[in-house]
Amino acid sequence: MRRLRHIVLALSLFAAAVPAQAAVETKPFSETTEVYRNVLENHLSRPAEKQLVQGALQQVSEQAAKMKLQLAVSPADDTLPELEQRLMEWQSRYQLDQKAMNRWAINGMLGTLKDPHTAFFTKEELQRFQAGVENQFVGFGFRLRLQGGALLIREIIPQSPASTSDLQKGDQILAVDGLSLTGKSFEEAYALLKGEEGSEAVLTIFRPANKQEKKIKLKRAYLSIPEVEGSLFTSNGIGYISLETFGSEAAYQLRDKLTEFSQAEQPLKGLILDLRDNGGGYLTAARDVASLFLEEGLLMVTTNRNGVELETWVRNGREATYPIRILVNEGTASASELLSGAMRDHGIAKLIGTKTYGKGSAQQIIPLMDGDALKITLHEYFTPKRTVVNHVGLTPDVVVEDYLAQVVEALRSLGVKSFELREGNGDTYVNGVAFPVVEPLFKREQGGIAIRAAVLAQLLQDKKVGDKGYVPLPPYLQRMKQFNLKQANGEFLLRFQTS
Amino acid sequence: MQNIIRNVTCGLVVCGLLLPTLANAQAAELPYTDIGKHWAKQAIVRSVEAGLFAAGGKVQKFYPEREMTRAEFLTLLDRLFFEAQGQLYPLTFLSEHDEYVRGEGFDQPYLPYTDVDRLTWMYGSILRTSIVLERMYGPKALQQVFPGAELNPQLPITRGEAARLLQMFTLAGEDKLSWESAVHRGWLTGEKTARLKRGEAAVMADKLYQFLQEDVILPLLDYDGTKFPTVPQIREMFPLFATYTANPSKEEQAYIDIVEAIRNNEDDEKTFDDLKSLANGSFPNQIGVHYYLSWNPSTELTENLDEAFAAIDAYFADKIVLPDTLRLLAANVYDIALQLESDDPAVYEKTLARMLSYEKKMKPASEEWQSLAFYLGALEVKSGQLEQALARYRTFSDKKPVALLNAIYYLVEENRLQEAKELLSALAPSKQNQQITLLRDAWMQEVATLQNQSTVINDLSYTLRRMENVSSLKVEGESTLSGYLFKYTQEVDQRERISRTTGFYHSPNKLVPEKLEMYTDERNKVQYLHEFDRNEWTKTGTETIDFLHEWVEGKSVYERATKLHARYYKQSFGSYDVITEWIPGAVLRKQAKKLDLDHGSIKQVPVYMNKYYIDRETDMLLQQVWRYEEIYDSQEYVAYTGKETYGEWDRVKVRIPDEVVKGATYTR
Repeated sequence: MRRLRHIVLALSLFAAAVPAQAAVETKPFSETTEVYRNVLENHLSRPAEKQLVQGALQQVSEQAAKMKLQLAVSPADDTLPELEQRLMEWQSRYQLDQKAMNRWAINGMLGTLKDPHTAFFTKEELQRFQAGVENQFVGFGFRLRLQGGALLIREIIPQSPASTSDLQKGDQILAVDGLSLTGKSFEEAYALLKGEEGSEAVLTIFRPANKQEKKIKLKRAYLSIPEVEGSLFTSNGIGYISLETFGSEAAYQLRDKLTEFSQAEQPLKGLILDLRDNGGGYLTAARDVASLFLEEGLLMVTTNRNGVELETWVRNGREATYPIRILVNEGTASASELLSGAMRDHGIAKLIGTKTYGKGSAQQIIPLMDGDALKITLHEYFTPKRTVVNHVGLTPDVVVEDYLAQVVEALRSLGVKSFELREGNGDTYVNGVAFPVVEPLFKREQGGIAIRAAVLAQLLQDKKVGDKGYVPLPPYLQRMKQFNLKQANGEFLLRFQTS
Repeated sequence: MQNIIRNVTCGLVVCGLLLPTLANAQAAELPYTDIGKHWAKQAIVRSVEAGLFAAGGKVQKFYPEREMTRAEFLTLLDRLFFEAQGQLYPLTFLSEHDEYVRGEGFDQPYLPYTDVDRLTWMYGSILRTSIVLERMYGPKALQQVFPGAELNPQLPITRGEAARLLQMFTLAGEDKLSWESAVHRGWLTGEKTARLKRGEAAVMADKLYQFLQEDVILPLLDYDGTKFPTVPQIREMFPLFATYTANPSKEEQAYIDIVEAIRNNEDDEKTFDDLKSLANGSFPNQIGVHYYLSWNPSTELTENLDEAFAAIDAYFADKIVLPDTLRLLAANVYDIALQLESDDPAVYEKTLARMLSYEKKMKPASEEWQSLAFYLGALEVKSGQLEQALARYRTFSDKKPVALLNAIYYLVEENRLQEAKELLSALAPSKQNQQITLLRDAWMQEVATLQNQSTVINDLSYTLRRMENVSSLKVEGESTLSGYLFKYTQEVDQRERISRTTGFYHSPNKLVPEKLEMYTDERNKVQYLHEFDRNEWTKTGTETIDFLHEWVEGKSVYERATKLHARYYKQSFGSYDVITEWIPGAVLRKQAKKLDLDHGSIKQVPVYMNKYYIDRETDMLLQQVWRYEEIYDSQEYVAYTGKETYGEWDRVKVRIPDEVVKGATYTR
């Protein structure tokens, strides 16, 4: 019996010697070299040597031009030694900063890949990236909503600086360190609120309940925000779970949430899994999450630059005994698309919402020197039925544009016949579950109350209602017995019953 | 210094027989609130101390009268295996307890059941246990005990099921003996079909844990050539060799500080300078001074050896009989000699001669003499004087298990099995000394299996011949060679002696795997390899041998047994016979000296072992697992591990396409 004996020799595997570590570190452009090698030998797109060398030199030249230096790039330079030599020449001639040159060269190389997901990280950037995947942030510990031009605290995160302070849900933030937030956009406000861990700020708040203005001093802290949130809809036995990211806790938190649902009075009859604006995370987390709904099955097929196809399987999972609807939108990316595609292909879930982002590639993080890192695209993946995701996205089974209408449609398709829509505390509740909406569900107009057209259209399954803006509700209330509107404490509650 | 400490500790501790270390059961506070009056209290407390049961925090009760579930038992087994993994390594080839749930190749292992989910508390433990069992007993071993697609982890486990699982520690040859051997050792009692209570499980775990502290799993196997000659375990390596009062003198304090520094790995040149000045003065504790001078990392090893002898000289100059002290001093000499071996092959003979000179200073066969005799015997073995060593070991084999073990081992090595058996039988079972009885049982069992070698060799030969006689077969393989990971399917036409291999491999220098496709034509001694990057075929000759393992592969089982001193061990479980094969590295090195290997001449073979999984009904080989480690003169270290599964007998057809043969360019 012959084993693989001669392969080793035939492939001359041992000839590809790895340069000794010590030698690497003494070279001034070793980080550039390292990125060059990694990208040249591993990147999905099989970049050419010349492409990388020219990209690096062009970028360095462009950056130097900003410093009024003219560095001519020779089109004949197309190998690593030439790149290194050129960089060394330029560096010694113009006394350029080595570190900066490394960064320029690296960014120049990566720029030629036309792949936004292959990126260089400094130590800090890497930490921020990983913290983002794990839903960990530095902040005060509250979430905001922009309502009628006012920034309101929508939610206070438990065990955060905000939770131990005087802040309350519904407080309006007027200013940060004396800088007014009035009229500021969400992004502008966020820029003013963020800061280093441990830094302090004084918030000026207004509490509508007692019409008081207050100043509260808060320290920013490292916060670990749950990756999973959810609750049961009133009656029906249908659960709602929103997954914000595929961090290392995602599957465990999701499992616990499902356990919690299973302890309710009635068995779970359906589940809405909200992956809207979930930008992905770790593949292992996606597989573990899938294992909560699938006993065994193919999760995805990947290919790499060498045409090697590998299958990733879910094993030792559990079967979902209830129908699932996954909410998706253009912010549903990467691991979210992977999970959505696999669950749809296995007939476990239907997708509702809008077309997904279309990030069908997988990356790995390679440590470089001094804590820097390279995130590099290695694989393209396909759903179990070989649906292409990359640059295409997944088209939902039911396309619904409006954020709330997507929830309504998911419930409707799970057989829910009675709906209860309510606004309160700045959130909009659909059958008891709160959703943060940017545009309010109801509006008071001259002719009385108006409702978002898209939501009404979804309830009535009537496209003629339209999906833009608001439509007056009174004509429907009069015409259709299915509707029932109540008003208490200035808040509306709309009930709707289909036959 | 660290290097020396490591070497020395290695020699002193690992090679020794482990003596039972029973934790004191008088714990100040009980770990659970519900065991105070339970009959199994002591065993439960000891098991908790050994880390076999979780306690504290949310776990307040043990529920000793509750029936133990399958999941709980498998978790317990996992923890016991963790304790025994070193001893079981020659049977599992698995070393990194936490790592192997991730798998060794491209695929992650998983459980063959639908009702144990990955995100549960029990999953990791049950999976690990399943992997160990599969490695020891073949594919789906756990299903041989719990058949079907469901494990029903919440069901109570029966004593019979427990006994079958415990076979991984008893090594009871036949499946049906598992119950007997568990009962014989007092681990289980009652009816096979009865359920096991948690209290009873704690007693079993406690006894098994103590059992595992002894050297009882294949005690006569020296798979990596580091066990024999075995020497006693040394507990305290850094004694003061004297008792000092609370108010030591200046010199005494200096000495105490020096010992402390060496013990804590904080010694420097000054430490040994200070020590030297104590050697030159009138400091009375010259044993200690010279013993510690022998630890000086900046002096030559030969000088250290002289200091080690100076310590023994000082010991006899004191004229006080302290067998433990002498044992440590002799161990020290032996250890330095071990380190000198590569520089001076004659070191053992020289050291032996010096050591023998002390023999006449002692009462023959006294405790003091025995302390020295362990090392005299070891040095005699190392200098090739096996008969003297055997005679010496036999002198006190009735008093010291280590001596007996060495005597048996070398008798077996010399193929004098009958003598070994007689020596063991002469040893009366002792009620007082349970340890001796336990060891005697284990050694008897192993001598019996050694007497049975020829049967196992015949069985394996028969199966391998059957394999050779099929016209074709298919191989599914996963292997690692020097960091390169391979996953392949090989179709072999044995009539035409042609094979086709497809798959992929992953280089340690790359982040993504590459495709693999090749044809081998053994008749014409040529191999065609698909160069995917250039999309062309190259061919190479296959006449030369690159690695030692290729040469060994060409040897029949008989040749391996007779010329290479291979040892075989057969276990049966469910529908499989599993045969493990170990070939001693020293013999391989000697035999391979003459070989002309492409990787240079072989310097050392730390490990060479195979496992064969045979379907008992068809006698066909279903799977093979191997681990070879080879070190070449060029310092190249080659580790080759893998697993192959065989099937599709007589159903495969292979031919080499014309375009491959015609288009191939010759590379070498």
